[in-house]
Amino acid sequence: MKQAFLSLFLSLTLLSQSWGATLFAPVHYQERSNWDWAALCQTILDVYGLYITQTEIATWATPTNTNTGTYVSGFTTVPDRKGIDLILAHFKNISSTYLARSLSEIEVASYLTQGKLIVAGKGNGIDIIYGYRAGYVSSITPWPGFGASALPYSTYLNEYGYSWQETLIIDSPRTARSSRYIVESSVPRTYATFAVDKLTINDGVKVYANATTTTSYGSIGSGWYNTIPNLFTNGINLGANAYVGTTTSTGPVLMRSNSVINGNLTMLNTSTLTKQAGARVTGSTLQQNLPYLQPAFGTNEFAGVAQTTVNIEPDKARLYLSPGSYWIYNIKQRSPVRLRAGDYFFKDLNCDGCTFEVDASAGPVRVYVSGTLLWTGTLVYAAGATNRFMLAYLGKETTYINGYLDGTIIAPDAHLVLGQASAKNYTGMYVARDLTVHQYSVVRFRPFTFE
Amino acid sequence: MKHQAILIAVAFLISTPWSQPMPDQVAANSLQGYLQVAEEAPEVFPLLTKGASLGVGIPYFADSVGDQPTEYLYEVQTNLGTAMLLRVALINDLWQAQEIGFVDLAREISLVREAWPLQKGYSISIILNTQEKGFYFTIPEVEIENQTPIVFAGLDSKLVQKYSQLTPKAEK
Repeated sequence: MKQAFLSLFLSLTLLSQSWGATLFAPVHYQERSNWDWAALCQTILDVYGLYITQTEIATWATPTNTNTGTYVSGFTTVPDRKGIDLILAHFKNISSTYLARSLSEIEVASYLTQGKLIVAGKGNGIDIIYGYRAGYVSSITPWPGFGASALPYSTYLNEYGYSWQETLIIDSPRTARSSRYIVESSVPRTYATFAVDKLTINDGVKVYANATTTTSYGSIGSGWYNTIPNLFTNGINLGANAYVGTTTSTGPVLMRSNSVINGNLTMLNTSTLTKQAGARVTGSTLQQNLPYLQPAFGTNEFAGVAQTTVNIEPDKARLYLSPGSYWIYNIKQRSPVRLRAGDYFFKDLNCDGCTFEVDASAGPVRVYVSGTLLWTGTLVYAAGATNRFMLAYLGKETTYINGYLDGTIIAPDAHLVLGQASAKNYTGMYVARDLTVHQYSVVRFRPFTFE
Repeated sequence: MKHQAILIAVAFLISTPWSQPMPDQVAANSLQGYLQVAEEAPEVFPLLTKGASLGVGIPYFADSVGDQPTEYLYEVQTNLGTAMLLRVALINDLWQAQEIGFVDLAREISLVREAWPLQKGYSISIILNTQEKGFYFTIPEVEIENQTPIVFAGLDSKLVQKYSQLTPKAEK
């Protein structure tokens, strides 16, 4: 009896402790009728920082049949089928534990609290359980149209009359994704300005299609991606007399007086377009499904980096930095920093009137900042093409770019503000969670060369 | 005497078949439960905003359309439109809420609704083809028996107008 009370107490304690277990897991639908396992593996590998196609997964796991099922665990040689546990281990060295049974509600909550995704094998297919909250299980079913759903645990056990029969617990710690993966897997490459959630183009802003034109306008857009796709964003606010090119938005679009969209406006819901006096769309207003983007998740480039702060005072000699990881750099006025081809990682970067000289002759220069980014500096191209500099901010703080920075800026999880001070000219691609372009700024589209 | 009347009334309510919660009521009660969780943990149901309400229950069939649906998909309406679907099923003679989700299917159904408005008298039913693992919709009010595939565009943009042409069932 005492043991039963203790067990009940522990159970209740565990359930209350596990009140917040919802893990990141992107939805991938199966591309073939028997490929629920391939889509599921794609989701898990994606979580662990590897993006590969379902075809690549199936080519390795079921090489003798292009559209067949496989196992949660184990393998057969005739026909050649490898289980999910083997697939995850092969592609990303992910370890897992197989159980020939379902999990109790307490176990589901406990594993998720430990950050472990759960694969549930049922009579009619397989799911990923990625969340538990107050008796409700959140899961992803890879069948097109099903996707993410939430249901009471008791219902989940026997949904559609098919019982949960086997389980694979994904044991490997969820590693942070690389900065480059985060940025490059989530950035649309054809927009001059793009906000994942809210794009604000203030009065008189002009967005041009390239670095020289004054008659052709650049594309802008807004859209969103999450575990359960949120199709409804804060959309686009286009200021009075602003001129932009082809525009897409999953959220509402407000066109203030005399603003112009030069080209088509494509929206998820055309009824949420508001036009003030004189505002016009020169092309068609279309209703379409729109692409989603991914928000940023933690990065892992700072393991072992000395946590030192480097202060470079004004008017110092040119500093040559090699690609690599740095902690905190405060660089003052007129102190030039030369960067060559490669990836640079800063925890904090404070460029207070400094000059970044980019030598992109041997390839692109990518600068990633994960903590705080302050920029009131200047960027010049010392050598190489001018479409080979990218500054990616992976933190969440509102970030102001108040200097001359002709290059691509990506801030997938932050509010990026351009043109608040005197610098009003930008040439590159500007993508952020929220993006504000202040009045009378000029943005020119020059896509970053990712390769 | 008064107590007797109450007892008789209660007994009558318990014994009559319509005292059992109907799918609309089950769906409404279930949505309230989900809304409570969503209020405390918005990351679990990011689309389920305060004030969400239920739209029409859409008959939902597996493989073939029967006379009496044993499942419904209820459109969950927020201030931003049809955000999700709530599935209710008749299990052991009891209507029971099953799950909330189907975000992409909800979006496609709202596009079907635009092509075939309820206000103009078109109802729709959803059919899940368990062999092909695909969804279809049918409009019973048109002359020809029809079954049109629902296409999930994913990253490929597709025009809304895709649902204005129905597929005759014979051609499916």
